[in-house]
Amino acid sequence: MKFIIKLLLIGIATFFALQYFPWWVVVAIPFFMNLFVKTKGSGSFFSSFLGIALAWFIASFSMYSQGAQAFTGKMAGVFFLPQNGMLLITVVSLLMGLVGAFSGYSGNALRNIFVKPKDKNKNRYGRPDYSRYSR
Amino acid sequence: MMRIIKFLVFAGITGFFVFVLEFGISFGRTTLPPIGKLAHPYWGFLYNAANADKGFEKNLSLTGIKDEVTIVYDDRLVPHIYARNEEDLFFAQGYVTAQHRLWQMDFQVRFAAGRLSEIIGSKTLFLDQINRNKGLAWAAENSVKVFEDDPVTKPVLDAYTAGVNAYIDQLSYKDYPVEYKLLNYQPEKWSTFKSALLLKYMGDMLTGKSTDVALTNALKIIGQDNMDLLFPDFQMSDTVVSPIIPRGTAYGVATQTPDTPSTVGLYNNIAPYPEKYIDGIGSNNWAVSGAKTKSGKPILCNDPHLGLNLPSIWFEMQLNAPGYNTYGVTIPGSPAIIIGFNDSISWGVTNGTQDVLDYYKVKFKDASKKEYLFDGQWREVTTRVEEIKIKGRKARIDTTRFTHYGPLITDVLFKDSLSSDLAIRWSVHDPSNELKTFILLNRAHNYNQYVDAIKNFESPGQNFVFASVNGDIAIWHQGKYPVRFNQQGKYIMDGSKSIYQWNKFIPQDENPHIKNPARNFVSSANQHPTDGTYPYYYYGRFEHYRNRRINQVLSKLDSATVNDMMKLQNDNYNLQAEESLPLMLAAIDSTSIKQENKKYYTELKSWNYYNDPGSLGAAAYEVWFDFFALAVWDEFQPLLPFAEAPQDYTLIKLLRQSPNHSIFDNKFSNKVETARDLLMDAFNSACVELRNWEKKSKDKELNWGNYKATSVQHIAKVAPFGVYNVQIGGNSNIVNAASARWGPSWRMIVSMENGIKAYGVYPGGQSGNPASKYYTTGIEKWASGEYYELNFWKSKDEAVSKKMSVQTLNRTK
Repeated sequence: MKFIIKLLLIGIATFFALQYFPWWVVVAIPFFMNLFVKTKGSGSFFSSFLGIALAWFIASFSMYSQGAQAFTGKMAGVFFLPQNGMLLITVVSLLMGLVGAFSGYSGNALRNIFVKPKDKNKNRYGRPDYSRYSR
Repeated sequence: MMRIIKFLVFAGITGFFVFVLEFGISFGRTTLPPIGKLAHPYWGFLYNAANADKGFEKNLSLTGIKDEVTIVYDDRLVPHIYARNEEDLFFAQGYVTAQHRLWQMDFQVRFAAGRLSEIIGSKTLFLDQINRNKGLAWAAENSVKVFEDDPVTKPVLDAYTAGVNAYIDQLSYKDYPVEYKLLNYQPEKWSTFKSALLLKYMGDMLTGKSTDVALTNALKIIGQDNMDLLFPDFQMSDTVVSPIIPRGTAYGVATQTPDTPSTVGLYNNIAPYPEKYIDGIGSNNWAVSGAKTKSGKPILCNDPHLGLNLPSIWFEMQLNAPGYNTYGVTIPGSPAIIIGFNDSISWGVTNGTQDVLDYYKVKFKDASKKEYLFDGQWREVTTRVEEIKIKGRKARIDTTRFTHYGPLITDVLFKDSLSSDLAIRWSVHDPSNELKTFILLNRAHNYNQYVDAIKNFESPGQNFVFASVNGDIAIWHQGKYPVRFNQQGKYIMDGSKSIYQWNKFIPQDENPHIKNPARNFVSSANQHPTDGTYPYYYYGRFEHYRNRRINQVLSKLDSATVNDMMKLQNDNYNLQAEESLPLMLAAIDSTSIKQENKKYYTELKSWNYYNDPGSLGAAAYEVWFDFFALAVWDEFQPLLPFAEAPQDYTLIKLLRQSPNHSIFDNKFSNKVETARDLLMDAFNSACVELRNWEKKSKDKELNWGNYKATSVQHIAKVAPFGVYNVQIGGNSNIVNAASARWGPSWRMIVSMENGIKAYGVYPGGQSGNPASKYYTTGIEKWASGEYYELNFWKSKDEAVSKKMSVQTLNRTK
């Protein structure tokens, strides 16, 4: 649930921010979101990835469908891809998602330097808590 | 510690991505553009695409204009500008041109200035060095002084520049043409210097290649007798040649005579010749007098042949203000209409084709090469030091060295050569005011004003055709030409003696010209301007077929209509084939033809000499002739790429007159060949080539259109922004001069009847935005020989009543 909320927060914030800011909001938003909101490492990575990829894709598609189809296909050709517009915006969205994911994970990692995570795998003495696996 | 490392690793990966997406990255010769910026959903290329055909209607308030300007766009996005004074007219021309063609203006000027490396990287460094070394920027600086001292050109250029800059000033990243985003740089302010540079670039395109070095090399290899046969000066005794000024026209006595040295002054050595001369950079124009037309009024036609590129070299426009009502094509970056018409006159141009670029061998005092000998004295070499900025690299200092002739071209072009130290003397370097010609033509009303206008035009020499509603037709072979001694400028000359330099110029009124000739038409297609009785010497690689076909057709025409003119501009008749194919076929022993080659032979025998796109015969002829020419000119092989083969016309003449001439013997074989042997070999090679083509292109039929595969390509060679395999007939020596990469860049027909009826088409569209539906508008009609009727609206009210969309520019209050 927390994962979904985070994904949506990142996605919606990015979708609106793109209208007023340069592309690097896909880096800034997941970074700070994960810096200030606690998540597991993998959660920060995948929520950022999906949030950014979806936001980028929806924003791109909204422009794409306003008569940009043919030209987007040509732009795909510029990147040595088959001349298919949907392919290009999908690939770029995934790429942006990936960048967002690394950034989100970095945000989380920075948080972990300053805020000690409560590690479910360790007991309060700092030793591995094998009891979790014995059930 | 582990956490810090983990953070640093991931932050590092993120940082790397940010860098690549913001600045792009290069691998070897491939450069990836900055995808983050470029693909931004609202600011990147998607913005250019979704807004391609929006936004130019909006009304604007601008500082810098005096009064209201109305711009009416018709259904092809041709702007019709209605202004209340001259400054506003040219301000609006600059503004509107930038609105649709900004990146093209920028790129062409960068090319000419040798500034491509700034935006592309070290890939274009050598090209930049060549262009700087040619001295185009230096020449443009000289021209700026002339433009600014002239009361006609200064206000026009100032207004145009202000208009372009008013457009640039209001742009943000998202509005940049998509090529800026791809190459990741910003628009730069326009200036008079840039307009001047653009005009010099046109001069370079039309006269920037010269065969002096190639002919000097050839002379050394084949000897004087063969030179006279293969590279004749005048074709004077050749009655087939059909000069621009009809044969038998009397010329006055020359008022200037050259001082002639005892020798032509050959520089007797082999020098590399890296730049190929391109035959076929030419054009057609003609005007038919009312006596020959159905309407009783003259019809003027023009189709300049240039590289087939997108965005198109031309931008169509109507200019209307007190004193002006002119329609035609403009060159983005230069004010005024370049080829067009107004209420009273029409005009067009073809390249004059005279050699106006000469090479001089310079003798230096010592190895430092700082002083050179001239008339027994040591003169100093001057230098121009420039910095070439290179994207992603350290800037480079580039030095161009000048003699009084012009730059030492060998510093870059022939750098590793056997012999160097060649300086060029080139008319394009001279300060002159070609722009004035166009401004005056735009507002000229009769023959005398036309002559006054073209007097200012010095380089590149052009054939200016003219027609008026008064019924006059005329043509001038106009340019600033040196008074040459016999063969001066044909070969490399001795740079140490003043007798070899350009000491006098032909007085302008002695340039070849004719008004209202008895044959009731004037025409030019890059052929010899005159017959041998013209009292001044000139040299050039003149055209031999298009022009004769045009003159043959025009001579026979009576009560000609616009339709007849359209037919002639799109005429695919191959006169060269008519004159050569029968000779070629006669050499073929039909019994010895292999079975699989028989179909090509049959096709050739029944071919009608029309290079139509669907013709197999045309494809077979063109391929066969090319193989034949290649085989004949084996003498030049050891010299390649340092020499230039003779013209096809010369080859065919030789084939007809002396098929057993020793030039036909293959120097690399043991037996003695005649033309007949070479033709048979070439035929077999051609058949192999054609069969291979058919095997390779399974889905395509073998015909001239597919084989030639004319393409219209993006000027920065962004492949998906081009149009390929355009089905059009013709070739460079045919009236419809469409070859694979060159062709009629603007076809215009103007009937000077009451109210002026005009038609035009060009292989491109008004918008420079590859995402616009107006980017390639005319290509299909152009290929199929159709035209648009041009909307020559007399007044703003007439235009507004038929509008597609209207933009108003107002002065900021």
